[in-house]
Amino acid sequence: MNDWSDRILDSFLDEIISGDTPSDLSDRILDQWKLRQEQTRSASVPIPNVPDDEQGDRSWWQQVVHVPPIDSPATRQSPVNIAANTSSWASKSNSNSKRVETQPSYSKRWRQSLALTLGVVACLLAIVSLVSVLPKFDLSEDTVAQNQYPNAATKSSNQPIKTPTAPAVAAKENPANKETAPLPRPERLDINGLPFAVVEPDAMPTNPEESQTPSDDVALSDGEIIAEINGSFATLWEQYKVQPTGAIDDKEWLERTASVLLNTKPTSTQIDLFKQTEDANKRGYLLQQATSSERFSRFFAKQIVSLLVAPKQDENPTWRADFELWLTQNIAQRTPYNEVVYKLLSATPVTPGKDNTTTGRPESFWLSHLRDSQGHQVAQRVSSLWLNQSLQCSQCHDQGDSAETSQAAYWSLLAALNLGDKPEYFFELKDGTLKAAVATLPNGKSIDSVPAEGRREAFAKWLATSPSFAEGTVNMTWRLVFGAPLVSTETAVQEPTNASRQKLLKTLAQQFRVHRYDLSRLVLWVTGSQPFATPSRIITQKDWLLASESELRDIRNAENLFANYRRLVLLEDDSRGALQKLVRYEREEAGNKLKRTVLAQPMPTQSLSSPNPINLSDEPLPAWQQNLRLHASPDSDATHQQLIDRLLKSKLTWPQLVQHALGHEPSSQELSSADELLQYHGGDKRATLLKLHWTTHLASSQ
Amino acid sequence: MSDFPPTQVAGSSMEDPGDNQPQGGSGPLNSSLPPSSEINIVALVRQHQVGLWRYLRALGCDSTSAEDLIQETFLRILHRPFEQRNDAATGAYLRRVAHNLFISQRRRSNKISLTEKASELEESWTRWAGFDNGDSTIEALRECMGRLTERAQLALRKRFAEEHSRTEIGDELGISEHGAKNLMQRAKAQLRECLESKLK
Repeated sequence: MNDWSDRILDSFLDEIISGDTPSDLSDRILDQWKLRQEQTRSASVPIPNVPDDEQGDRSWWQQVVHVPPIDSPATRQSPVNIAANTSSWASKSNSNSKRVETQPSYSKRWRQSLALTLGVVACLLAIVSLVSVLPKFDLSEDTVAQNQYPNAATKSSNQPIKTPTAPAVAAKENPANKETAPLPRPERLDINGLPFAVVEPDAMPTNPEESQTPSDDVALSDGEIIAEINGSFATLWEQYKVQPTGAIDDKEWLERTASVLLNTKPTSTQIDLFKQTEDANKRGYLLQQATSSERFSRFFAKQIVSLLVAPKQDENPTWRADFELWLTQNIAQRTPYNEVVYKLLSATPVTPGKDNTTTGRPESFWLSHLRDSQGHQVAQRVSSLWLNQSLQCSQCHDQGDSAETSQAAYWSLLAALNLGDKPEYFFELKDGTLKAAVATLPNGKSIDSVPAEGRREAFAKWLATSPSFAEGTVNMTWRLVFGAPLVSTETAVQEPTNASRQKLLKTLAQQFRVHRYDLSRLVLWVTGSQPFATPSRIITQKDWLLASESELRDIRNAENLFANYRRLVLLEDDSRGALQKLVRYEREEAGNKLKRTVLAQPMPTQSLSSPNPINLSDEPLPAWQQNLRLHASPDSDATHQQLIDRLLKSKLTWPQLVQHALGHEPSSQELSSADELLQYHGGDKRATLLKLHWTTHLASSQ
Repeated sequence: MSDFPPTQVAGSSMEDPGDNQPQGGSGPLNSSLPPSSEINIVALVRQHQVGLWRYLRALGCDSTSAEDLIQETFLRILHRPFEQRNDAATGAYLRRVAHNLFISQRRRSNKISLTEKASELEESWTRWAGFDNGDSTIEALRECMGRLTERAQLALRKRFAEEHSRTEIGDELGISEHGAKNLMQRAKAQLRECLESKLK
């Protein structure tokens, strides 16, 4: 309880006891506003007649989802359209940013006339430029672009637009936006100066390469971004000749949304109300409200905290709660996520004392609790969550031929983070040579000359504006929504849809940067997409365990072509728990209560023994599928199988084989489970070890 | 965090939202934003005035000056319209403006005010009243008041409603000034405990 809490509660107490309550000042302010308007503005600009929209069509929202009701009439703006019709989304730029408008027709007319004027000016300038081929061509086009898209590009006001055609390119890439292309984009909220986005001019990145704005940094609207996601998956489906069987109904969509965004389950009444609501935009509106709600902030903060630091038995629960609250506040207030991460990384670790219930620095929780003798835990989380790389293995050896995943890169990262007890870091090469790590940023720039105590902050500064940070965050968000990342960070995984997914990842990451690292908005894009509204196929864990290798491939292929949705059970379990549950199914054979939900359609294949919701083709397997079979699921074929084969050729004992397959020393219970599995597979060690390995790999990748 | 690298945005503005702003529709207002008249003034005021009033009272304003500052806050906002992302963000922005106006007012009148821990204030405010203008906290506090002893309630009433000094309260309750202070401190501690359990 600090001084401010005392003062706040004292003032509340005063209000209760003295009966001194706030009065309605709206009339008084309105009068003053009108008076000042008359003094400062031309009489030709009318003061709008504010409609008193008491209920609007929002009543359903307050009953449909368990979030604090939003009574503000200011939020009763036109609901956004949803992914089912992407063009309608695309036509509404920045639909998530609520701007209070009371005279839509006036506003529309105003914008249309502005657009018309700008359009005419743009045409004239373009004609003049083309005809005369003046050297000032670029300047004039820049001016047009800036006038037409005053806030479209995220550049500082004194920085010229480097690609004048960027808005045109964006419009071209989004055919749905054709009709609205000439219209100026609605301005985005300028949150510089807001209390949650304090920005200092002195803090500009020193590396000119990092401060340079990419030439294609054009802010797309929410609808356009969602259309990008939909388009990317639609291309994949077309490429592999698969189509979803349809779209989920309102009930399933509401349940899915409530579960993923708010960690709740709607009641039957709420579902009925939602279904009865005849509003074509109700899904978009609900998503918008949900991602702006306190409950969403709390739920996502909790999940992110879990990713950042797993609970320990001896940890301070108050401190963790404070940390969660701090993150909740930041998400609720839409603090740029890179700022949040910067604060986390540049915080000073505190050693908690016995009675240290709170340190007053919630952001220090993460570093303080992950701080080990050399900072390995922090480095691994930084790499997986924010650098979009999986560097765990690089601690001991190089991964592939990439310098980014080399052993030296890992130790350079460790030295840059500088969380160890010693100022110098040494690592052992394969040949036994001891080598000193050089503190280096992932872009190759050495920061070894920076004093040891300032390296982590230098790293945090670089990270906050690096593209890999945005990509890592998009991947994390995708994982929180769908259960698996958009693009696997495992270097061994090279499945055929990766290129398309990688492209989408880069697009989303770029927009995430342009939209000021707004996490809530990123979630809105992902959940507003068509993959999120694709029907699920339930695959029980028993199905998974009993599936043949080819069936497993089919399942994995389907997951790759569609989005994954496997949040249940495994999210909160470690790999050991998941294994025990899977093996238990072998024994029980019935009561499949735990289900693994895959937001995926089955592939058009004949190998699945279970009934298929789509019609099976009698034709022979098409070439693409043969090809896919050869190259798909390399993490089971190329990597895992090779590993198992190598293990079987060795002279390892059965417990040692199990240990290598699991990736950790098995407990007696796990060994017993492995024995049961071996028995189930008729003594086939290869099949048993493969299944053990897949199972733990799957669980650990959740 | 003062040394955080800035995110890149169009039309970057470093102005303090509450003070040193150009008056009368200059700056970004006319260049990129719609006319201020489009903002639903009444709705915005009704949504946030209670929270602002309580916030300013917590800062140390009396009722009248709190109302004056609220009026000035909204007029500043109307001069420089903004997009509403959500209620929490809007509330935080309004509080920032009000806080800056409050500091300016204090500076003008040469009064010292607590400004060095403004970030803690925002954190505390969000904790106690961040999401509903403090309504639920007030309601819970009202219920907790009823659980106090008659003497404790009386002492608090004398202190807050009638603005009696500790000595006067002690005299009326037949205890020393120190005893009155202890009684009220214990009562407030009980209220906090009750409040925290209710708002958990």
